[in-house]
Amino acid sequence: MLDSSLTRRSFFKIAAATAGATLVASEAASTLLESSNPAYADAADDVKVIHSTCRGCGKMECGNLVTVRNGRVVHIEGDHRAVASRGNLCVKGRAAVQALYHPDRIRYPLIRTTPKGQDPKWRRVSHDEAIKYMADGLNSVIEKYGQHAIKTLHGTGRITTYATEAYPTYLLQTANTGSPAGVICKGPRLSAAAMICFPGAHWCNLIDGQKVNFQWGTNQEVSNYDNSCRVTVDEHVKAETTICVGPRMQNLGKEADIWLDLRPGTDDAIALGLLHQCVFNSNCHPDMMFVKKWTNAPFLYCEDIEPSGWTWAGWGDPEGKQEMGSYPLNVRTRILKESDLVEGGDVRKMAYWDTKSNSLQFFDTKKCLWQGQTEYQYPDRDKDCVEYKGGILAKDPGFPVDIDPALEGSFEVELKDGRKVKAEPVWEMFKRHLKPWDENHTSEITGVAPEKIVAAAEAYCEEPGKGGIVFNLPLEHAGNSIQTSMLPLMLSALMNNIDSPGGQRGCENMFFTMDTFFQYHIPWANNTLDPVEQAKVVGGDRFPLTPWFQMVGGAALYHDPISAAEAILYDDPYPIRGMLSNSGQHFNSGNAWQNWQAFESLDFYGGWELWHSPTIELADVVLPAAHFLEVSVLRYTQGGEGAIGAQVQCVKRQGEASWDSADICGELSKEMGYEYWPTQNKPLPVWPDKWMKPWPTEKDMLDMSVLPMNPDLPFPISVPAPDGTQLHVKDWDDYVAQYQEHSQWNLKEISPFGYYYRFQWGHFRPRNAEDQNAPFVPGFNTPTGKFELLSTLLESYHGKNTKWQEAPGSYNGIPGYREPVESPFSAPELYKEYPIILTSGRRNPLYFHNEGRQQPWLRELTPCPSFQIHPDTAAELGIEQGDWCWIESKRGKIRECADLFYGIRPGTIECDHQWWYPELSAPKHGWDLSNVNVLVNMDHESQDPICGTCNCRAYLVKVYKATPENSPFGNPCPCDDDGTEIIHTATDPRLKEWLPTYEYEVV
Amino acid sequence: MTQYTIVTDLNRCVSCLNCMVACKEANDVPIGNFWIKILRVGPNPKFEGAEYPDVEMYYLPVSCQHCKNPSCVEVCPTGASHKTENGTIQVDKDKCIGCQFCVMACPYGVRYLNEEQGVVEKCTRCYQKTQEGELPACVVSCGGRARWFGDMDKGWDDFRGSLDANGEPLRLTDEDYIKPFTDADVHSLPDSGNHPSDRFILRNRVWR
Amino acid sequence: MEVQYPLVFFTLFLCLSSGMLLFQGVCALRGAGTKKFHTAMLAAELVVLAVGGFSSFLHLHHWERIFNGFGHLTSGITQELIGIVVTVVVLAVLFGVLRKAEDGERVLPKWCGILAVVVGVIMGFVCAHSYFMPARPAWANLTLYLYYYASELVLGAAGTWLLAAALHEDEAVGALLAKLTCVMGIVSALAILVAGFYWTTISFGDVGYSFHTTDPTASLPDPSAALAAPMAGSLAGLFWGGAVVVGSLVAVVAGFFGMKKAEQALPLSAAALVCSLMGGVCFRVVLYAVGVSFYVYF
Repeated sequence: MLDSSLTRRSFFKIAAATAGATLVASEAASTLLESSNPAYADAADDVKVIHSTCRGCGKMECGNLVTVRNGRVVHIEGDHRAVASRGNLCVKGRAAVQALYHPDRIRYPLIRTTPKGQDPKWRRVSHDEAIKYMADGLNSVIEKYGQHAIKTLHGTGRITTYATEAYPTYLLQTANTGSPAGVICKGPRLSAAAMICFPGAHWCNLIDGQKVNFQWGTNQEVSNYDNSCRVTVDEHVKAETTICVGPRMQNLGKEADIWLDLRPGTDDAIALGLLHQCVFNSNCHPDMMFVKKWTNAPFLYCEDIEPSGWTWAGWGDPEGKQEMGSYPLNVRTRILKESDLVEGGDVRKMAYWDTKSNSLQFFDTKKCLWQGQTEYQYPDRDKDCVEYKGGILAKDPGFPVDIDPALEGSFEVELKDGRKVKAEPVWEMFKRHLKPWDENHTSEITGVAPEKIVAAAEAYCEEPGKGGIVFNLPLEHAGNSIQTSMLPLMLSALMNNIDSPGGQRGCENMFFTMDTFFQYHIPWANNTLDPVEQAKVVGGDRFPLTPWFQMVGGAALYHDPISAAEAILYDDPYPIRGMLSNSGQHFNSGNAWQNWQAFESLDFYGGWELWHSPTIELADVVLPAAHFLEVSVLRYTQGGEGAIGAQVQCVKRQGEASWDSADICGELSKEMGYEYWPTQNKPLPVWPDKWMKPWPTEKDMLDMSVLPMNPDLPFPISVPAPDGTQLHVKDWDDYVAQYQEHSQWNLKEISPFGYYYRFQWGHFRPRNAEDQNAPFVPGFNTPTGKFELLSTLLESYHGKNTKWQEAPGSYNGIPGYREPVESPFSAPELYKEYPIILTSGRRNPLYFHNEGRQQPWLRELTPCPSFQIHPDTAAELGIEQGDWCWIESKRGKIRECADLFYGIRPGTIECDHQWWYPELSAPKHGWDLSNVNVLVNMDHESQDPICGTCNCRAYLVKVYKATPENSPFGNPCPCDDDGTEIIHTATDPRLKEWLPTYEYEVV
Repeated sequence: MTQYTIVTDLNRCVSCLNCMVACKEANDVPIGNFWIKILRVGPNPKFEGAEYPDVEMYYLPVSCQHCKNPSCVEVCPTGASHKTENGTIQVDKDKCIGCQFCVMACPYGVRYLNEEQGVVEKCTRCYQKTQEGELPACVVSCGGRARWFGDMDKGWDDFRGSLDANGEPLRLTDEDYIKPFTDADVHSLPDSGNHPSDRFILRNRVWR
Repeated sequence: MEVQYPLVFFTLFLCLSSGMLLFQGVCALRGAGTKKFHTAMLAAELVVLAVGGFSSFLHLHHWERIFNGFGHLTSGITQELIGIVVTVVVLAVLFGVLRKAEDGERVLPKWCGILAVVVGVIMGFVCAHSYFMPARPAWANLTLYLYYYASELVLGAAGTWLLAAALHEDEAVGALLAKLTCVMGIVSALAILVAGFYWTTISFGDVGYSFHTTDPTASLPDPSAALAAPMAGSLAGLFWGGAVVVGSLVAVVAGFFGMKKAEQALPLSAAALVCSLMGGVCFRVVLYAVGVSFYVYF
């Protein structure tokens, strides 16, 4: 019966009919922007469908089709042609119109009139006055306390707001920059991966399919975290075997063939257990060619020598350079180097034992050449390569010279001082480190049945190339974020799934694919900070790699929020007195109460926001941010699907809202006396002056973002796809016009993303920007040029006898296990009083973290927060389904209602995160009632020792029923300060007051 | 005969809630009321005496089941609730007197009184779309591609789901998307004599 | 299910009205009752029916559309409306007969009595039948008919007795009606107990643990508890105190004493009627509470 799908004509009919009923209340004449973009629907009675990209969440690039009628968005649906999303559009994207036209949006600049901590009683001011107020406020803090006295507060980055994250570094020269949320989400994964292979390696490509779909601590099917729900389900169903790791049965996890139901916070232990199987179980077959050729496993390690090394990622040195710049690191390793053996030997040449010649040889880690190798080896396009799903898939041609590096054994070598010492390949140490983690030991720690550990490993490791491991932030939350994030990558690497089809392909942070365009709209010509200044980042004394992590890109641009709060509250190590925020909340990382008190005490705080969310109510000035449907920007998948597209402004901006990243930052810098894009710093000497504009317009920025695709460039910037294809566009408008026709482009077709295993092709290391003829260097962009099973950076900074804390459980730089700081085993006394293990952060499809609580279509579907508890545990505590309960840690207590969930470990609860209540009064809007960050740690011990991630999960609480006796106002339901209940049912009449308005109040 | 039916592959449903919001938009459903709701069934022990982690769960999207012998039509005094030629049950709002006996008679709680209009509403199976040859909003929008729409009297071949890259609806018979199932895997909601027409595919676990 | 008060009062007054018609028929069959009494009875039945009808209109949101195609025969509401029209016609016929009747003789012929009883019996069935819904297991069984008949009988007997007492009808008539009230009270109590007990035997399908995302504070559905609540649970007060003691046993006691103490007939019959009305409300409220859906999750 349904031979035709949605026809355009009938679609309009329906859209018009339903939209007329639902959304368009009155037909106020609406003119559109000055822009000439043909995609805008600007004529009266006009209906247009604009191909754009959703930004309903912070992550996924879902292509969307936005129907605009008479200048209003009336309908949004998924774009079935979009390669990365396959027509997926989640509830957040669908309900975006309810954010765009929400009656409570901030639409005008506001300045507070009351002391902080009270309802700010905002006063509307002009845009110029607000900019000046903000500029003066920031300048006065800088004058008094210096550049680092300003910090940023940012939530999950949106491409549209990237400049806001990076801006303070570029312009104010503060090291306390970026998104502190990054430290608890994705930043550690990027950082850890940058240390051992490449930042972004945790991202998998799913659209190419996987034999084993391995979901570890994910909830992608509802979070759409870099792989859309639809693609995730498609590929989960198609996979031969599915493995899910997590302490609770997840939405898609219900379908998993193997569920590793670990105790919260033991992801590192289960990873070590799986690696043990991979290495020791005879049914597991790791790719030993990859191990020998591409990892540092064959390098000889000697415990008897002093660590030595060199300064890596030096200033101006392309090697070690990261997406955003470089920061010099001192590599100090006990891997045996030529300089240890021979006087005047090269410290960059690392020793291995060649079994063919039975001799000690050296790998030049600077040039990435084996002994005897003079030219780089690339796979032969005819002999070694096949086309696979539109990409070039090469089988490894083997060693370029006739060697076979030993992985096993022990070798006696003579040092340059004449001492004879034993050295052994890193692989031997790696095996020794894994040896204790057999299935029984792993089971004792993780609680997962031994046979399931074996089954999962045997399924994944049966043969190389079964696909990557998708792993997300639970691995970052138990006080061992960096090491834990390294381990799944190592498992994936042993099985040759680094940059394989369906493997760890990364994307956003990669060289050469990134060159397809410029950094969105960020001032690309800027240098970053002087390393001496950058080292002053708060927490840098404890987390010495943080300044380098800040170079890695994306969410790794963070600073430690706990140290920052201490700097604000106690001037330790120096005062932070000013803050800039953009969609950041004090409860996104660190303890919410500590942050609230800190931010309340700031001398100056300015920000730009869509909403009167709690934190901004502490600000001195707030500017209205434009909604994503009101902003054009280049869009690019940060994750492994590899697609590029456009977000297209669909409607005129409301009130005085402006594109925060480009407009506000630009104007603010001008007012503060800085050039937004400093004209003295050209990225290349040949860079034309016409592209150097100190205060570019929005159009300039958009044109610049697609500049590398311009066919008329005087010199090439972007690198084409394997078949030579590049995307050619004249300017931004041309790009948008082509996007309307084409939808998302698959980067495989237009960039080196078209090669799999790019480490073979030299695309994983940067190239000398000055020399277009410089060869691509195969290998990884790490100190050893290898995928590092022994992280030389971990060894250098957090190894034995360094100035900083040794990575817990590690073995000479090989990552290890750390028991959560508050656990039944590590804190038995505390456990007596707080006998429940809390985990948190399960995804609700409706809300992106703290967002969406005021959109009726979302809020009515989950009006209030709940926590999941095993029915037996609930029964012991006298708790029944739906009961409001207190959840109390040493730090504080909150209320959520009980969801009796048989799919969670007894003795463990899972709490909804990031709740606040827009219906309650300023300034708090009820953030302290149910927000799980009230409970989290703020002590140093529980932080990750390497990057400072606070301990967001796997800590101890007690849970008891909320009763009239133990609840304020005698009401177990959370209430405002005057006793007003929160919205907790779908039928609450306050929800209807939040329906779209088209004639918003002009304050 | 025609019997428009929605089949949900519960092994593909992940409770993304897209159907709920897409439905609200497509049909102007008042805030606080729903034409489709998702029930989380479980997790429950897999078998008698089983404990965590031997549990199983599925999500059950429930809207009007467009019954073959609809109780709502039987109790309607004015004929406002009626069965149409395509097998769907519709409410003629001009005839509805708002007595709500159909609300009481429906075993699945999918009807409610629209307070503003004083008439009873429920899922129309996107009548305005299906009569144009389009698919219901809950089918096209389904994140997990779990929902499929077609004429049950014509068999599985007739069922279509979310769109492929070319904009053509996928077919329920495409094994890339719908894993094989047997008759024993096909279920319907409990029947109190109303004979619900919608079907649910659930493999490898107990239908409860 | 939420209590629908307009329907509670509709069925309450429908039962009272048709119960009185039924007992008027009984009187007529026995040749009892003066013209004044029978006339007043007809008037009372009409008024009570009108009050009930009005009450039901409060339930409708578009009663003006009632003429838009009303008459779908399978519908309980249609059947009730037909029944009400028939009742009104019968009342008119009886009134016509009465007008010609002389006091001191049999004021209503036997066929009138039969007619009244038949209509009364049918109305009890119709009233119950519109709530017979397979979707609600507590309603979809014989106890529903049993109860509505019991309600009709106790209300009808008490109402008829009250009118007889108020109009100082013959002591024999009063004693008969008191006795009927007493017996009907017992019938009512038994019917209620049978229904209450029967509900506890109904079993429901069970999906185990479940959760509605739209209603996180809802407790797990527990239909068995809801159906046991009247006998021994949160509804025990309404059930035992309201429906059984006040709604039925007061009528029994009043009727019992009324048989002997004719001089106390007015207060006793008034008490019987008021209490059985109250009990009728209580029981109907209980009916909604136990009217949980066959598929309890929605």
